[in-house]
Amino acid sequence: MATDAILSVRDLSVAYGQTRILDGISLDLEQGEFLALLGRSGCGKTTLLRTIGGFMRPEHGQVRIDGVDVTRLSPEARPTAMVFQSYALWPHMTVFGNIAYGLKLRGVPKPEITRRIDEVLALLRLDGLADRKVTALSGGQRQRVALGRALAVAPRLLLLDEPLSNLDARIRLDLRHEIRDLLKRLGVTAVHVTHDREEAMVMADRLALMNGGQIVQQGAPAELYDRPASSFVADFMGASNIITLDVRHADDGLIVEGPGIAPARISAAAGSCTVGDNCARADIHFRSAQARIEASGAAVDDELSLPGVILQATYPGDSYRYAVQVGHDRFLVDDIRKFSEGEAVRIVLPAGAIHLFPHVDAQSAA
Amino acid sequence: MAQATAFYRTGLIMNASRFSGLLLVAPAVLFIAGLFVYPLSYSFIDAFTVAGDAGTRFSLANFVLAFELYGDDIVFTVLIVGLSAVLIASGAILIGGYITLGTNRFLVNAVRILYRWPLFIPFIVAAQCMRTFLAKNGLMNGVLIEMGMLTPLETTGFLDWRGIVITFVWKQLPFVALLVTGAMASLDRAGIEAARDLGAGRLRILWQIVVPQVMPTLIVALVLSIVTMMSVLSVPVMISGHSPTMMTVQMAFRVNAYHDYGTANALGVISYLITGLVAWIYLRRGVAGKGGEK
Repeated sequence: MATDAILSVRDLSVAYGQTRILDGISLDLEQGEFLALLGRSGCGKTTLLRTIGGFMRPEHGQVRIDGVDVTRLSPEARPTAMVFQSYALWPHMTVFGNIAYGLKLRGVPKPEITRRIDEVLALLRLDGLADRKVTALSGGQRQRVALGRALAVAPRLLLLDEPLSNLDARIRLDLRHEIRDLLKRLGVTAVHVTHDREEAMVMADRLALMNGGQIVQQGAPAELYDRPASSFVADFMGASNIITLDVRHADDGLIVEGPGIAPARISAAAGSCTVGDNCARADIHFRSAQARIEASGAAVDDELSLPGVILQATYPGDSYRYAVQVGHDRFLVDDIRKFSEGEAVRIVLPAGAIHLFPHVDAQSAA
Repeated sequence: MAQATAFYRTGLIMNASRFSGLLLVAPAVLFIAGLFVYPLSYSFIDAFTVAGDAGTRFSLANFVLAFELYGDDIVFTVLIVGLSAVLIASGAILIGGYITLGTNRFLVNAVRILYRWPLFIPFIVAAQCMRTFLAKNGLMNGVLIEMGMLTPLETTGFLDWRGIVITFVWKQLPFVALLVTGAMASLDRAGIEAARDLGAGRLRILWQIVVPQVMPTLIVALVLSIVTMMSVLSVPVMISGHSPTMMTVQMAFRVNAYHDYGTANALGVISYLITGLVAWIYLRRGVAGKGGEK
């Protein structure tokens, strides 16, 4: 256990009736660190956040904040503050009333409350709105008020429950950077729940990717992106084109081949197939943007070449996006060059674009 | 030509739909006109007129008599209904608050089921039940004596103003609690959790977060309840025959004993003005609330 950890979660399990939601979660968070809990709907990320906040009781396991066991404490007794997905502002109060509420409960003298709220409003660019009813604010302003209400009480740990998911895409992009910048300046330790990979990568120092009530991989955003530990992580982190091929070990790397796909020598590929012989059949994951399309030409070393036909060509901006049929599989590949629908092409994957994992049968995985 | 025919047809269809629309609302309009507007107007006119040798003429004599004879009853009615409304509001907030914020699932479910029962009992049955329950030798004192909390000599009957208040509260509390609990249930739970998260206890959350947000519903429910209590005759007649009593009893008395419809109608107009005042306060509040939201 890290001794200087602000938050320390050990072997935490939570169930709704007979359904196990969290299964043996452990994690640590240090002062000033920003952790994102990332995962699909129902993976348990919000339950973990709510258990840290005291809104849910675990079956077993421990939550410690600043070394103090808070597992059995109610939310009001914990040094945490949560920002809710729905903002959860009180519509009968003004901006000032909402932000001042926690300070009034703590018995802070009035002049001090006014001073601190002025500070918070300035920080959040809400100057001049103190007397406005929260119902008269825009979505972005409401989210800032919700953040201000949580920050005003100077919590040891800030909990953010999908705080940006109700906002327009444009405002969301701005607020990501704004919130990260603000929390870093204030040195706030925070746990942020989101299902948006890009949002998590932009905002957090560290990601904890969850699946089925467990943390499947933790690390810096680049680590999860470049070195996913499993097929699931690779898929979630955007390497969602998957082809299953045979793998042989050669002296200087791996040889990958399949029906209609010429053997290719790959010197180094990310994933868990690089050592050992546990994957005679492997799932190859690759990202649309890291592959390229070639009209013709022979395969070269350290590249995998998948022959196929372009089914659909679209232009979402920056580059063309092609749906390419390779055997029974269909892949999405981005390329800045223009190709026509129906054209016979090759998808070329450099070794660096390939993530290899032992093949998982879809039926057994389900 | 074809266009003109089409236009003509459209006109016909519109007229037909308008006609059927009128036909649909006609029963309701006739019902209100025949059973509410006509008798109300008649009562108003009757309250403000007296019959003399030269025919009926405008006069405030009925009101003068009503205030002279029944001034105490008017004050009594306002106090009884006011006190009942305060107790009903408090009870509804506590019941709704417990159902919304309570943590003991069994007790919350028990309260949720039990509190509605009196809703389905008519006033006259409620009054009869209270007569046997609150009398000097009634069930309540019997139970207290059995429990050793009172001796037979110490017992007193509650069949006076207290009995009326208890019956009104018992009968109307479920109605107001039903609306208030519904309004509380529709609040964003996250708002309540946010207050807990910042350190607020349950009572504080109820008073500072929940009640202000359900206030419009509470006031509507209370206005409806006040109107109902103002119009009930059976409860004051059966629970307490003493003077002062409620205005409805005196209205019935003027009609039954003296055939004095003028004074009875004057009392009716006064009670109408009292409920109107309550409704006006509510409407003003509603307008102010909406203005504040802009």
